[in-house]
Amino acid sequence: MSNAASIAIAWLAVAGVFGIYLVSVLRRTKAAAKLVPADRSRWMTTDAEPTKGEPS
Amino acid sequence: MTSTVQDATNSATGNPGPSDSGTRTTGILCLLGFIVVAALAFFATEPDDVQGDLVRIMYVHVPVAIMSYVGFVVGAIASGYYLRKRSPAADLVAQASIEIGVLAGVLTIVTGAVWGQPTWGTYWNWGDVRLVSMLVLVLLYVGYLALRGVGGDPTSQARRSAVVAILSAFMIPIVRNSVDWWKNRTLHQTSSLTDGQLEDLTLFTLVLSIGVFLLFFVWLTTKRFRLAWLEYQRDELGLGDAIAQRRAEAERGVEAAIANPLRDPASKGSEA
Repeated sequence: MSNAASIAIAWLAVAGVFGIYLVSVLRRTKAAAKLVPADRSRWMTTDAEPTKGEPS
Repeated sequence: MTSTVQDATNSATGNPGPSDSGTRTTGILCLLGFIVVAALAFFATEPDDVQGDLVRIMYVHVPVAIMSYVGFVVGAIASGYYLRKRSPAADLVAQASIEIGVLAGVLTIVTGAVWGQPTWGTYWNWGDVRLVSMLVLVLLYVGYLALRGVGGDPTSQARRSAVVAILSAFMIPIVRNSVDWWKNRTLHQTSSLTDGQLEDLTLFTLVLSIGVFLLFFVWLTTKRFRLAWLEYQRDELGLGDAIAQRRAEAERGVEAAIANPLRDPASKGSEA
């Protein structure tokens, strides 16, 4: 394998793996967001009341 | 303070608000950063005296290695916080950062092997302490992710996972220092950042690349956390719905028994 091929494989592997992972995360997030009401999609509320499911 | 919390909230969830522009800006900064790093790595920096153009692999190999360490350390800290406070969010932060750390760790091994073949004449050497210790570290955290996938009580599962995340983190300094502790048992060079052999532009490009990858880690972890939180809420809702359904069924049963006691098996038994 030539040096150019080694360099290309290393860079493309990093870009490809993170790219595929990012697309997967965004698609799954979109799907999950449809199943969760907006009031429960926040992990922290701005007032003193904790979100349901959070420890009090 | 409230504004900060709101910003953080929206950053994590992607809800409409000023924070969304924050995450978007971070994402755009990452993209621009990667373009600049690639341009510097391929067009501005000089080939190495010894390795030639192969040194350009360093601009991705070292950053993903550091990214994996950071992912595991953040995961261990978040796990410690979970054990102390029992915060589901901390558990999910640990999950998100460790998952990304594992990806970065695998990429570290792959890019290292691709770099090693033309440099050392081999993709892999089982006697090399740096290579093998890195593999063990990644496998430990693969085990962490596998443990999270095992069914059972979510609380005890999170507790067990947190303990594994913390214990596995003790491997990080061993991996990091293996090239110094066992110099005669590794082909791997010492730290590129601290050995003082890099020229100015090469060092600048490497440091910039590390910075961009760390910013990308923060951004990606935020995105992955949002997904984990939504899945957690979905599961909570599913569990809540199932409990409500069972309660409704039980209440209907009690009402029916009161309305028509003869249909109650116990009543029938007493009549007989």
